[in-house]
Amino acid sequence: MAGIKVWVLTGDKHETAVSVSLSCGHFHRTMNILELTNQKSDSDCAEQLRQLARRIKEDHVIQHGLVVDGTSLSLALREHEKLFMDVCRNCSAVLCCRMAPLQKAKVIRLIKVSPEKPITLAVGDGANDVSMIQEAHVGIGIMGKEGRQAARNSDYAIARFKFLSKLLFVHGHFYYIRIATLVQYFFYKNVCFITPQFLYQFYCLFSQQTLYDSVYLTLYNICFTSLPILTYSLLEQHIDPHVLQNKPTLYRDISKNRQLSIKTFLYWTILGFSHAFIFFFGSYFLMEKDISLLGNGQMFGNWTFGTLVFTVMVITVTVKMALETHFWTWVNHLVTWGSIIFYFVFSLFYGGILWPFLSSQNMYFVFIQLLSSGSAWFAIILMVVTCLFLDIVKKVFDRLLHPTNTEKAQLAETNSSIKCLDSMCCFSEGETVCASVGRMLERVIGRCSPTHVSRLWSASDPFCSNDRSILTLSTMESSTC
Amino acid sequence: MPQMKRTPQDCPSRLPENTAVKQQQLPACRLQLSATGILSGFFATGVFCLGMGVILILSAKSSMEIEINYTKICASCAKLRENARNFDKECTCSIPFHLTQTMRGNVYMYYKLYGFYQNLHGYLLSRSNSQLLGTDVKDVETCAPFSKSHDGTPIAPCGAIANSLFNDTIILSYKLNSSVHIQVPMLRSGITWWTDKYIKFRNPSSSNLSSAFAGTTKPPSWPKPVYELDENDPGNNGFLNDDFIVWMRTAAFPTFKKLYRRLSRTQHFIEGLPAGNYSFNVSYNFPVTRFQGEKSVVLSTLTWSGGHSLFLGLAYTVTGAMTWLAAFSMMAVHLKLKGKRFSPDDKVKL
Repeated sequence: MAGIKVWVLTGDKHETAVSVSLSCGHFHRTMNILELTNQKSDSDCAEQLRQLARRIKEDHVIQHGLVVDGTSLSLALREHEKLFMDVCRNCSAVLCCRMAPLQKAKVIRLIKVSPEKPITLAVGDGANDVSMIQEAHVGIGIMGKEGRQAARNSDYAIARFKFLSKLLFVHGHFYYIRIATLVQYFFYKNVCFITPQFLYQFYCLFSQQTLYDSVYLTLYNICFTSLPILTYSLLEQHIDPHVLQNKPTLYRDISKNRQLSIKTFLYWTILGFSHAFIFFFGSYFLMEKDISLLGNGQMFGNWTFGTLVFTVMVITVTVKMALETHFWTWVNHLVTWGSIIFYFVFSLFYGGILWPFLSSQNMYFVFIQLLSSGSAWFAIILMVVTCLFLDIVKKVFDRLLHPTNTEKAQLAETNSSIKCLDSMCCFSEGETVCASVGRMLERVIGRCSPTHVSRLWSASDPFCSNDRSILTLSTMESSTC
Repeated sequence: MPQMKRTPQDCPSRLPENTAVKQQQLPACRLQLSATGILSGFFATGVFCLGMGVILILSAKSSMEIEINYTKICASCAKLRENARNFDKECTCSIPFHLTQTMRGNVYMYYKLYGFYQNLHGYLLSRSNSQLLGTDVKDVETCAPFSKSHDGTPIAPCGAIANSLFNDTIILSYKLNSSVHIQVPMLRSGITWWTDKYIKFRNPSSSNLSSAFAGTTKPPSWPKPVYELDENDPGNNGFLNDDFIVWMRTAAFPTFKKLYRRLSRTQHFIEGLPAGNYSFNVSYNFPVTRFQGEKSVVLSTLTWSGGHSLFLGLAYTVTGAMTWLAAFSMMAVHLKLKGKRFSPDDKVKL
């Protein structure tokens, strides 16, 4: 359902492995189980593989599962890798039994270099799984009865196997969204930043004159625009975690690195360029064509122009970040509005003093003069509105006409009774306000009550139970605070 | 399913703290783009933009502006100035024009240059702020290439910006009747930023101005040294000269205006500039033809939102119209899909 193929690699013998697979749901009773076991020689193995391939080709409707044992696997991998991978690709579940530890790693290597270049994740709990864990892209070790070897060599260690689903579907999904947005947003805001500088070169004979003052150049990425995206990438939860855990199909929305694909990258980059053009040319037409922006006839200079572009830019990229954020905690409010306020306060402070140790006094009083012009304020408002209006329209039309599964889930969430201010702990409709406020206070203070009412999600959303899921997920209890 | 129990261990627990921040359970609001919110926001923005646009267009239309390009009219003077050896020859040029309507209110006179790149990087760097602040009149380090004269004396004020000071004199005269021409009274004060004139630019302190500038020499292109810029008004002399300060505030683009004079509303000009015949008498000193530049004089009245340019008003109106258009189309699509959403086959798709 989540678009993840599961292979089971075990050292157990054939019968045990198959019965375990059947009982845990890896193999369905309705699956056609193909076998590549007890092969004695190379040619036998090749012949069997071709037979299996034929059977798969003949029968498209049913799902296939494959059982391979260690010796046959080593024979297949010696000469017939491609054939073996072809068979595996068409099976929805693969069980390898009698595997030696190094063979496990070999299988993972084989999958990694197959043409689709999938991302592999290996879960193991014993010392014999260490090589497999290290070979896979993501290795997860389970701390358990067989000691800590696996956990020590892994990227992530968990205490129980069941935590894997939350690790993948909730935390993995969140981290992916956060990092993908972080990368795209960083490129976007720097495109917004540098493009006006580039455009200005057309007006200054390409003499490398900067549009903004050098202090602004330095502090843009450090002070004025760094905190909102940092807070986003630490705290953002675009969907409630319960929904993610109970709807594994949402995981498909981020498969194949979709959020960092060319299409998304182009969207952010073109957005950055269009915003930069609006900032620059909006300010250009305002200041260049008009007589004066101050009521007393006095003129603005080039530093005032640069500061106008910079001000509009800082406000727009921060509000764009605010538009991207779904999960508004007090920290988000603080850093978003605080960044803009800090920019204004800093500029007033920086331009209000004749700095004795600086040889250039270009920015003295420039910001205050800019803010004392009514036209400049109206221009700032207009440019911010124009930039973001297009983006909002695009988002709305995308959601109305082509909603992704994630967006549908977000919509379903608002229609059911998940109330505001309650991030992870849901409550059923009958609860009073006092109880929910009390719980919120408890959480703010820092203590979550362990005995909390858990809620089964399945009541409102009957997801397909006759789907041939590879990993069956029972409707899980929501975890306690 | 049993609840997750925290089993006590012998060694100190390495579980992360159970605080709201570390467990990512901060109380929060989930922002959703809801139809009513977005549509009402768009309609409100549209109304605001359209309203502001109309107001700004009306206010821009109520101001008047006249621009007269005198490079071609004064072609003979321009040709004279192309040769630098004619620097000591005076050349005046008279440009008549007719005002059809009275310019009511405060009238401002600007000179406008085309093709003069005050925003060139090397040009912008070539000034000495410590000299202009009056702290050290001989500090000319940052002023290359106009820092010292041939014999090594520092230039005051140094730098390329100061050297290229605009030195045309423009006098506006009004034809009261067929025989009488009067000079329109103009103020030269109040054309700079207050902070420029009173804080950022200071003369070096001394008993009299010429001794304050002792040991320095005038910039190569200037006819007179800096302490003789305005001998009548000591508050307008030295570095504090208004025209000098206005010029030192470098412009952002190659086509720029700088405030030159303001109308003094006395005598016949209490209401503004009455309609009639006027002429500009220009003492043409500033050469522009060598770099294919041009010069004009601009007369303009101003409103709170600036001058005659319709850009801001038009931009607001267009944005308001587009916002409304977008709002209507979003509403149409939303209503159309809302009818569809309650059909039974939608639910299973997930």
